[in-house]
Amino acid sequence: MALELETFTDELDETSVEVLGDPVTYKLANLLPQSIMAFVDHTDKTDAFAGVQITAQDIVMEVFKTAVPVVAATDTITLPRLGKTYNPKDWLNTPSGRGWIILLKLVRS
Amino acid sequence: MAGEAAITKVKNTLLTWLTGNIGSGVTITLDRAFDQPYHDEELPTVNIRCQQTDYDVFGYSGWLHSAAIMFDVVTRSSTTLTIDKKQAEIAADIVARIAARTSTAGTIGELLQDALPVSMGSSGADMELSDQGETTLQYRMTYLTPINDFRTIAGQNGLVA
Repeated sequence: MALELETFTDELDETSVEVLGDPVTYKLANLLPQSIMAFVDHTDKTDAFAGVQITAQDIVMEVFKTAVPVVAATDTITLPRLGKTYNPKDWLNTPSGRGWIILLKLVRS
Repeated sequence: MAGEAAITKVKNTLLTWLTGNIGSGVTITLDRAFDQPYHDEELPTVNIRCQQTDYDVFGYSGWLHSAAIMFDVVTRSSTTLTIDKKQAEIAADIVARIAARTSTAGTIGELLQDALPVSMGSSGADMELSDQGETTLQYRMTYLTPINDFRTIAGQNGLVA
């Protein structure tokens, strides 16, 4: 019987995020914060407006549904490398459907 | 200011006139370099620039300059294609401050014949930034110079070289 990579995908996903991912603290509404591993693009972004440009954070993270089954705008995510907390402003299924691509918005005090 | 082009005199004096007088914590810049983006920590801010100047003959001895002065009002804003509350407040402060000009020497009121708000519109961009936005307030500011002398302004108190 031929080996099907699909059989091992969940295990590979879990292994890759544990090895290559970034630690984040994810708090679902009404639950305690949990430390999980996710792929986080911390890159700032520059956008052009009339006459000026603005550089600001435009964080995108990818997390597997085994860690975060459902995303809500009230969730809070703390990124230790930036020391800041965010809410999801939008979230999309990954191509495999096994995870979420979450676009983050800074929580201002 | 002596020897500078007339439009430079107007822009520099406008910067001085507005600085410290447009709301709390609002920074004012002049001709911010396009390759030197604002960062979130600098907001809210207003960038002054002159996009275009038109000329008309004024009598036999002067030119009437009509300068399109743009105030780029940059704030933390999550909206697009709208003028948000903070941007509207800053624009209102700019209008009030310019309207409060007098002909005192060395101020913007000495240089200008008139200053009229023309329009205000949001710079839509593409909403890719999560929390920043811009609205541009446009003014038409008029001033006089002698024929073929774009450095000297015929101001409210006489010539400003």
